[in-house]
Amino acid sequence: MKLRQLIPFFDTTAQDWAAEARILRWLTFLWLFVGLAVMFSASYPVGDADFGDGLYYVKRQLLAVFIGMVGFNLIVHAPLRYVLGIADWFLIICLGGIIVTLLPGIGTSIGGGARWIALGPFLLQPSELIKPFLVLQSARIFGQWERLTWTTRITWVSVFGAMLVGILLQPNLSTTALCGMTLWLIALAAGLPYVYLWCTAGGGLLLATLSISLREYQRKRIMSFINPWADPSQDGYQLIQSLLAIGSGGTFGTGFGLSQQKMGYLPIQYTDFIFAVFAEEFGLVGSVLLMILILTYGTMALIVARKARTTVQRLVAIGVMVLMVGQSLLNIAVATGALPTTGLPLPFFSYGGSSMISTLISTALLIRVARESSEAEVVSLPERRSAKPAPTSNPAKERRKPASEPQNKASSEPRRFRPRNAP
Amino acid sequence: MGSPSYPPRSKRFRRLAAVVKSLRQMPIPQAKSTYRRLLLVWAILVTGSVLLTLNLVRLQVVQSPDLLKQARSQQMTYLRPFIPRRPIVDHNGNMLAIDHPVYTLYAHPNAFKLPKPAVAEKLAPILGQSAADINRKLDSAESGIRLEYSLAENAAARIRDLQLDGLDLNQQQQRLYPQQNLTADVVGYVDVDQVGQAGVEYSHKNLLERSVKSVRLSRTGMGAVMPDQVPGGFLHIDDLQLQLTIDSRVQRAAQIAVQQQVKKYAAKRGVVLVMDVQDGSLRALVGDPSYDPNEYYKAKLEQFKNWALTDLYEPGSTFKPLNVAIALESGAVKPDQVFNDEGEIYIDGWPIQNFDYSYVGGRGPISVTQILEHSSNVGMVHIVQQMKPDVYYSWLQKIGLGQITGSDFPFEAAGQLKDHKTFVESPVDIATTAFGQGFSLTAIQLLQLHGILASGGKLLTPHVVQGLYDSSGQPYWQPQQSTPKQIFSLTTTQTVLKMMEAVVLRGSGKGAQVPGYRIGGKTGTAQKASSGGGYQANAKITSFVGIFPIEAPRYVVVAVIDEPKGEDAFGSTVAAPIVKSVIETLITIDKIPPSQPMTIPTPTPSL
Repeated sequence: MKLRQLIPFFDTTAQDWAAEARILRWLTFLWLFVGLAVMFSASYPVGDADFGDGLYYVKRQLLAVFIGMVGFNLIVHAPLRYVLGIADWFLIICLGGIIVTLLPGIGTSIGGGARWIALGPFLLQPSELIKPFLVLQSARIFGQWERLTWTTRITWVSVFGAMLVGILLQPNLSTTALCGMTLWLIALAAGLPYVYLWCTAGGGLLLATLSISLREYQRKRIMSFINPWADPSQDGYQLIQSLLAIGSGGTFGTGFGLSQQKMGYLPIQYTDFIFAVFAEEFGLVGSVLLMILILTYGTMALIVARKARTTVQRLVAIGVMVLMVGQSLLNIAVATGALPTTGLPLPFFSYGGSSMISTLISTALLIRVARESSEAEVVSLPERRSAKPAPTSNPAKERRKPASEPQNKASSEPRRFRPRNAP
Repeated sequence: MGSPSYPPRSKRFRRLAAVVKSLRQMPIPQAKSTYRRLLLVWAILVTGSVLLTLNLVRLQVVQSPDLLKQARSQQMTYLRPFIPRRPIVDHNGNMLAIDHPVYTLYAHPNAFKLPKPAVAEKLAPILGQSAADINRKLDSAESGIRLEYSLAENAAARIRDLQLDGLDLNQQQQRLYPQQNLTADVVGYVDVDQVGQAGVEYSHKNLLERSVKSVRLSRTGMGAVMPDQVPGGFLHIDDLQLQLTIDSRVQRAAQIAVQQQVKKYAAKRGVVLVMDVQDGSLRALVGDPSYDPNEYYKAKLEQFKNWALTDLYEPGSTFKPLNVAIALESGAVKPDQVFNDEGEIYIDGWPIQNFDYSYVGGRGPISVTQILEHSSNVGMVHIVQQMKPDVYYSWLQKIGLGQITGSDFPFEAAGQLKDHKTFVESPVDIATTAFGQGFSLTAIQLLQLHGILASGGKLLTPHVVQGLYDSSGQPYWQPQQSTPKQIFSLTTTQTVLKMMEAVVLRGSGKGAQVPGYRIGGKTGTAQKASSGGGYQANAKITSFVGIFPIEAPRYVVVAVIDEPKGEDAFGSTVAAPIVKSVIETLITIDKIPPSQPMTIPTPTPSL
C-alpha cells in the first residue's frame, strides 16, 4: 500500500484507468458529494438542537468518508482475487458481529432494533459492513456454482441463510430484505436454475410473512404503510411527515437548506428519511436527476459486468449494482410510502459511518472489476507471483470436472494473471 | 461420473438403479451466467426506478398543493402580536387614554396537581375573593373556568409565581383613561373588543389602531419560531401618540364651573366649549353630566352622545351679534345708526316683544350697540328689516346655517334652516331669525359662528386632533386644515366685537367681567321648541358666548345650560359665570397680561 492512497480522492493513477473505471469513479464521487451536501442540510438542525453543533453529524460523516476512502483506494489498487480470497473470513466475522448484537447487554438498541455494537464513541453496524463481503462471497459461490460440491453449496447457502436470520432477529427487516434480494439477484444473474430461484423466493416471502406476523412492531409498520392517515400522530406519523416533505417540495423544491420539514417535524431526517429532505429542497427536478444518477450508475455497472472476464467478476459487478441501486430504490420507496417504513440508509446520503464505509468498499469493488475487465496490465507483482504461482480464489473444496470442463479453472481466472515468464 | 458398474443384487434393486439412471440422464439445469440474465437484473431495477419516479410525479406534482397545504398548516403559526392602540394625550402631553396589558385567569381543575381547596386558598388573597367563593367556582366545571378578568400585571405575576398547574393566564389589552370623566366627551371610549365607540376613539380609529395584522411565521417541530419569514419591522412598534388640542387644565376648570351651575340651577345638562381662533382648535369641550370611559358600561345610554354636536337648539340672543355683523357687512346698516325700539311690534299679526317689555316697555331710539346691550328683540327685527330677505337668507347660508361645521367629531348634526322660498315669503320667520329663534344649530356651530367674529371674519373649522406625534414631540402627521373662508371684513368684526364688549361692560353680560381684561360677550335665553310645534312653556336653554381679549381676540368660550330651573335662570346668571371662570383659567394658563390697569384693592395692614 502506498502512502498516497491515504489521501482520498487524489489518485494519480486514475488517468490511466479504463474509461468505465474512471467514469464510475467520478460518478461515485459525484454521488458522495451530493450526498454529503444533502446530509449537511438535513442534519444541521438536529445536530444544532441535540449537540449545539450543526456540523456534529457532518464531521463524523467526514471521518467515516476518510476511513472508507482508505479502504476504497486499497481495494481499487488490489487485485480482486486477493479481496475475494479473504471475503469469506470477513463474512464470517461480520456474521459473528451480527450474532453478538443479538446478545443482550452487548448490542446497542436504537429505535426498536439491536443493530449496533458500541466501539468506544462509535457504533458499528455489522449488518451494514457485511454487505460488500456478502456480494463477494455470493459471487464466488454462485459464480462457480457448477464446480462446487453440494456440501460446499449447502454450507455457504446455510451461512447466507444464517446471516439473513441473524439480521432478521435484530430485528432489521429491511436489511434482511435487501441482503436477500441481493443474494437472489446475484443468483439470478449467475444463471442459477429458475427452480431454485423460485423456491428460495417463496421461502423468503414465507419467512418475511412469518417475521411480520410474529412481531407487533413490524406489523404495525406494515399497517401504517397501507394507510398512514389512519393514525397520523402515532404509527403513520413518520410516513406522513415524509410525504408532506416530498409533496411540499413540488416541482422545483424549496431550495438547498430550506426544507421546513427537517425542522423537527420529520423524524430521523438525516438517516433513513434523508430522501424526503432532498426531495423537499430540490423538488421533482432533483428527484428525477437523482434517479438518473442512480440509473446511470446501474447501467455503468451493467456495462462493466458485461465486459467482465470471469463469471465471479461479473457477479461482483452485478452484486454491487444491486447493492447501490437496489438499496437506493428501497430507501426511496420507503420514503415515498411505496414500501413499508423500514430502516435502510440511502447510500452516500444517509448519516452512518458503517453504511458509508460499506458503500465506499462496494463501489471500490465495482471499479476494481471495471479496471480488471478492460486494462491489459494492471498489477503484476513478480515476487508475489513466484511465491504463489497458481493463485486460487476458488474455495478449496472444488468439484473438479476434468472430463467435461478441462478449461473451466483457467477460464475462471483472469488471463492476465498468467505468469509472464511461463513457457 | 463414469459408467457405474454396480453388481446386480436383485430385480428390485435393478429397477431402482434404472430409475436412478434415468434421473441421472435427465438434463440437469446448468448454471450459466448469460448476458440475458444480467439484463434481467438490470431491467428489474430500471422498472423499480421508473415506478418510483412515477410515484414521485404523483407526490410532487399532482398531490403537491394538497400536501404543501397540510405541511404549512403544521409549520406555520399565526402570531398576533400584542400591539396596543396608540395613546391619546392632551395639548401638553398629559395622558388621556393608554393601553395596558391585563390578564384573564382561567382555571382547569382537571389539570390541578393540588386539591381544589388548596388552590383556592392560594388564589384568594391575590384575587381578593374568599377561598370559599373560588372553591365554589372551581367546582362548577372540569376546565375552562374564568376566575377573574382584567387582572393587573402584578397580580398576574404573583399568580405565575405560585407555579400551580392547571391555571392559565391570558393576556389582553385594556384601555385606561386616567382622567376618567374629564375628557369623556372628547375622547370617547372603546368597547370590550377594543373598538372605539364614541369621540376621537371612534372618529380617529385609523390613527389610533396600529396595524395589527397577524403575522404568519414558520416554526420548528419543537415550537420555536423561525426567523426566515418574519416581515421587516415586525417587532417595531411606533411610539406615535395622538395629540389633542384639548388642554386638561382648561377642561378641568370648565368642568368644575359647569358642574357647579348645573347643580345650582338643577339643570338637565350643560356644555362648555373653548376654541382658539388662531386655527379653530378646541382647548376644552366639557359636557355635564359625563361618564367614566373606564366603566362605560355603567353609564346611561344618552350620556354617550356628545350633545354639543348632536342636539340642535334655537340659539336665541347669542345669535344677535351675527345678525348685526351681516347687516353691517351687507351695508344695510351703519354702526352708528339709531333704531326705534317700540318694545313690542306685530309682524303678520304675531306679537314680538322684548324680554323686558313687561317692566321696561319701549326704549325709544337706541343705537345698534344698545340693541345688543339690552338684547332688544324689536331692535334686532328693525336691523334685519333693513336687508332684502333674499340677501339676508344668502348670508345665513354663507355663514353655514343648516350645515355641519365639519369638525373632527363623529355624529355631528346639521343645523336646520327653513328653505329659501318659505323664509323669503314669511316676514315673521325673518323677524324671529333676527333674535335667534325659528332655526336651530348645535352648540359647536354657535362656537364656530362666533369664531368668525373673533378671528376677523374667518369661518374656522373646530377640531380637537392636533396630529400624531412621536415620543420626542416631533409631528408625524397633522390634519390638513383647509384655508378658512373669509366671511366678514375685519372692520365689521371689530365693530361687532366692540359692541359685544359693551354688552359685558354695561349690558346683560356683566356676569362675565374679569377686572383688567377686555371681554366681549352675548347672553342668550331661548325658548325650547317642543316636538309638537311651538315652544315649551317652561323649558328654556340659556347660553353665553364670550370672546376675549377684545384687542386681539384669541378665544371664544361658549357655555350652554339646558333647562335650568328657577326664576333667575338666564344666560346672564347661569352661563356667564361659567364663561368668566373659564376665561380666568385661560388667563392664568396662557399668562395673558391685562389690557387695562386694574384697580387693585389696597390690602389693609392688620395689626
